[in-house]
Amino acid sequence: MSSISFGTIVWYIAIITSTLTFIVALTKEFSSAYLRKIFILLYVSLICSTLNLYFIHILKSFQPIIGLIYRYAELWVLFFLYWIELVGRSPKKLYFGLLIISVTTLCLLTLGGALIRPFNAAFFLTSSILLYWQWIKKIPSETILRFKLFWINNGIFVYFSTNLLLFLSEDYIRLNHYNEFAYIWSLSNFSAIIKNAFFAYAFLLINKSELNHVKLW
Amino acid sequence: MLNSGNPDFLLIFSVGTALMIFMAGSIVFFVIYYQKRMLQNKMEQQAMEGEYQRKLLKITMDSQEAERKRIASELHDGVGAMLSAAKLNLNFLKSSVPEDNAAESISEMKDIIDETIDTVRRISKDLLPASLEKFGLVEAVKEFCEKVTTPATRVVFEFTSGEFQLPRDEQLPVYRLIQEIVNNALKHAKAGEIRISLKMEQSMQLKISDNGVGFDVDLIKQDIDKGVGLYNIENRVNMLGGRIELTSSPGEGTEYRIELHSNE
Repeated sequence: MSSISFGTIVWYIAIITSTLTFIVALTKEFSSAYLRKIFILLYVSLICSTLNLYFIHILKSFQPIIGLIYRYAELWVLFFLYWIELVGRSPKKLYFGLLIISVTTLCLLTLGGALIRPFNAAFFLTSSILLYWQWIKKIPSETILRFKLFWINNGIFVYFSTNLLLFLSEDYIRLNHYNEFAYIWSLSNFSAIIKNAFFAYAFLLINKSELNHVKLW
Repeated sequence: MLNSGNPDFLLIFSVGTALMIFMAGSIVFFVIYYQKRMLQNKMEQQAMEGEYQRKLLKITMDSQEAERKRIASELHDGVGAMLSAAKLNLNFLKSSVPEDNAAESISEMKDIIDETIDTVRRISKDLLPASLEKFGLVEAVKEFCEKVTTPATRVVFEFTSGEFQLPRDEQLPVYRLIQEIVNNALKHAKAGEIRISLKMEQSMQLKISDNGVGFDVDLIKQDIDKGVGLYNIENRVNMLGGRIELTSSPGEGTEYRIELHSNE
């Protein structure tokens, strides 16, 4: 099996798991704001994956802009997820958060769009560790294994931990190890599979007591 | 396969990523382990606090019962005996005083003393039913039912004996429990009948029901003033290590089911 075909297989599996997680989320009704954000992220991921498949297999061209759009969507969605959990949800705090993320996006776009990947990895790794720290400080009322947000955070944490070095050295690997790039990049898709599994588990934890709340779409 | 570029970089990259994955896994496991320990500690602390509260309640109730016993004994043996002596002296005085007016006053005083003696006996009996010490719980409850039955409210007692033996030191708290529930029903339920069923089979099963006005349990529990009676009943059952179920709704009467198991 060549390295490219292995990488492609892992990529396909990542897309399938992402689609399955999206389907699991569709079968559930939830009211939590963070689950809605993850649902939106899965939705964007599905659209981007479909577009990528279309461009690569039908039009035989690679469009890096699609990946970058997903990364910016990821930045905004996950930023507000962590901002609300770590800072708060009062209108004043949300406006302040909106200002921060707008300035950050502008800076990233000015400095070069590709910076978004390592930035996201470093930023959300720090955010997820801060969220763990917040949980450790609190006296629990029930086991953390029942917290849906814990599994979401695990998914994000494991995904960006695996990808931090890869995103930091992406350009270097592409330039100096071009033949191995697809093989190495499969690590990112493999971590995406784990992330999707964690997200799916979080959605599966929704019990009936959460039904009859806000219907999403 | 990995044969171009700088191989050292790939090695560093692989080790670095492996370390990152290991660190991520360790942090996740640490959070789960730490949180589990915290939860365990919290539950142990809650159990200890519950046990402490139970012991404290038992000590308070025991000292309350001891004080009641002392007052009952003082009333019966002290005040009662002195009143009886006063009555004897009055009898003697009455026979030795010839004037009609004085004899009448002495007779009135004697009546007052008789009434006072009855009152003292009643208070003494309420504080500590003698039949409980002499004949046990069943006789004491029977006697209590006869005493509180009125033309408007009939209090019926049914007893089924079996293998369960209620320890001597738990009989008084159970008696107080019955007393409290029945008194509550007499005061608030406007019931035509209160039925007490006591079964001593594998466990002690006590059922007290009435056909009165009933109440909304959740609503009463939320009201601090009105809910205090229910709280006391629950506390007494908890202190005995038993289980209580209360069923009531407006217009449907009230039913208490209490179960006590042997401590052995």
